[in-house]
Amino acid sequence: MASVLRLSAIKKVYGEKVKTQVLHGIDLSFEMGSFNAIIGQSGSGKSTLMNIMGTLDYPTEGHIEVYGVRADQMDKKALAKLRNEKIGFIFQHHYLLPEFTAFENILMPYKIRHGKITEEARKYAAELIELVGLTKVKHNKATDMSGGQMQRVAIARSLINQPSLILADEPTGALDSDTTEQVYDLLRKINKTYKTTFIIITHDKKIAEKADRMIEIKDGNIVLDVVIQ
Amino acid sequence: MLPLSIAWRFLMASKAQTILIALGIAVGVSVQIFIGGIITGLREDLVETTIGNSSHITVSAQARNELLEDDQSLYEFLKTFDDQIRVVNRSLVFSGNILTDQSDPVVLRGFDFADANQMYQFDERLMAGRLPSANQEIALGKDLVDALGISINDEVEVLFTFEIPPKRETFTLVGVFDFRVSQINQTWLITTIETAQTVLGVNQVSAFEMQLKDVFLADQIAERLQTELGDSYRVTEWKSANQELLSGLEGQNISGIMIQVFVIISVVLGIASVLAITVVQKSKQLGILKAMGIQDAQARRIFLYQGALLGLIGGVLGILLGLGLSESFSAFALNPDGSPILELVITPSFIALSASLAIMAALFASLVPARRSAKLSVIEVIRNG
Repeated sequence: MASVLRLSAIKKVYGEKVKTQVLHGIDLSFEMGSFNAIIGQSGSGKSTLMNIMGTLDYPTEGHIEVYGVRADQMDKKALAKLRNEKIGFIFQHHYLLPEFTAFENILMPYKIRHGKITEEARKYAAELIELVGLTKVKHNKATDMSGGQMQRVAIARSLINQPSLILADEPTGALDSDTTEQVYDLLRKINKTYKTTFIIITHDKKIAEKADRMIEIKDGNIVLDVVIQ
Repeated sequence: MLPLSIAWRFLMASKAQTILIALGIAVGVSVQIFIGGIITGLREDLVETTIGNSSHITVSAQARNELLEDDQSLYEFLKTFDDQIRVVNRSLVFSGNILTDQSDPVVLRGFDFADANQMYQFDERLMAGRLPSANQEIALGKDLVDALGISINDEVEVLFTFEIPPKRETFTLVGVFDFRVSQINQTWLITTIETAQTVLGVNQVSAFEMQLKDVFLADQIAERLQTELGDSYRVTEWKSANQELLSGLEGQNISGIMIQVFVIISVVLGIASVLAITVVQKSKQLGILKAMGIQDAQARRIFLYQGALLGLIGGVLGILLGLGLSESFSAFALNPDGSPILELVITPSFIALSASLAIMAALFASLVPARRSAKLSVIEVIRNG
């Protein structure tokens, strides 16, 4: 199967005077349509890895290829375009724009990409909001929703530009266990329906065990990489 | 368009803050309009009082006390010499004495009223009667009429000493004027130029007087005119005779500009500080927008648009406020006779200038926050989220 994302020998060092190496040469490759979990304790380097995979941060050393293109050599402008068109993000803290409604938040990446919103996009956004079960509150401002609702809006938003890769950093970290379950089921459903590749960062092993592949990272090294089932 | 709509949402999301800053700009703009109106009004008022009813450029004979031929071709030449010349007025002026107990000294002034009215507004100054039109008709100032105790249609005897023995003339009083200047009201005898020429026995004039549309061009036009006319004529203009007034006006202008500059500075500082805070307030939103792929240039534009929108809202509010302030000044600051103390002069172009200054100030003030917003790193926001 084709690889969506490939990391080779990724190293990340923070700090100028006091240098802290967070990643010690990570090699990873993710297949199209796969559902992956990266686990690790806080401070293990998993968030840094996620940021590099999402082109939000540059690696100190190593290559990163997104859809076969070297992202570590792109400038900021090209990266912004790459993120907008190819990668969906779901963050722990939702990061919706509180000035906009749920529906507008979902359409935001589309608007960034195309400058305007077509009827077709509106329909697709309505479909997504239906998928995440929020049709009733779609015109609520982000501030007038529960944590679970906001996270589901963020999930719908990550899908609007139909990316084939979604990166999720502790997407259920701020949610209770019932809601966590629902959100994972939802992500799985999306993975099945749209053949979207998922890379989910979590510290919860129970959640990670539901993925197709589990990667454990510890002190900036991969200590476990298994295919589940 | 995306940065504009985000900018608008950001402003609307914190309405109180937006209203406060827009009001700050509005106060600045309104002060500018009001002060500008006062300064321009004061300047025009001073100029009007000083030279509104006098000649801006005067062409007379080179030698003092000599007269010029009443030359129709020179009159036409002056009228078309420059577009700025609004009116050319022939006048013949010489002195005499009204024969009363005290023998008051007076000045007989002969005019062609069709022209002279445009310069001296005699018809507006007329309190009673009419302007002289036939031979031997005169109009006098109200102070002189009061002193003489005469009324319309009474006869007035004047003794002229330009020849020996002095010439005695009898005129009919047809009008009384009030120039609100006692010197004029006490000494001026107004008549037609024909009467004046008959009395003096000449076909000459003392001077060709001119008024301009823009009084401040008088020196330039006078200089050109002098060159054109040659040395047999003397061309004088109001500016060289009113240096003190001019430096006063200049001082006023500078103080006006200073006020405007400081108002702009305070508006810039106000907007800049609020927008700087907004960048911090909205850093989370900017971070997520950047993660979703918004370009740095677009992020920068969000804040430029915010500045422009604030400038626009504040500018419009400020214009309304400034006009209201000026209206109420005109309505409440009155002379005892009910006329406004000062006529404020606020032109559309001045309003446009103030408003565009506000918008430019706002844009300028948003430059630093815009730069910061463009530089903001996603990773900082995500990590500290």
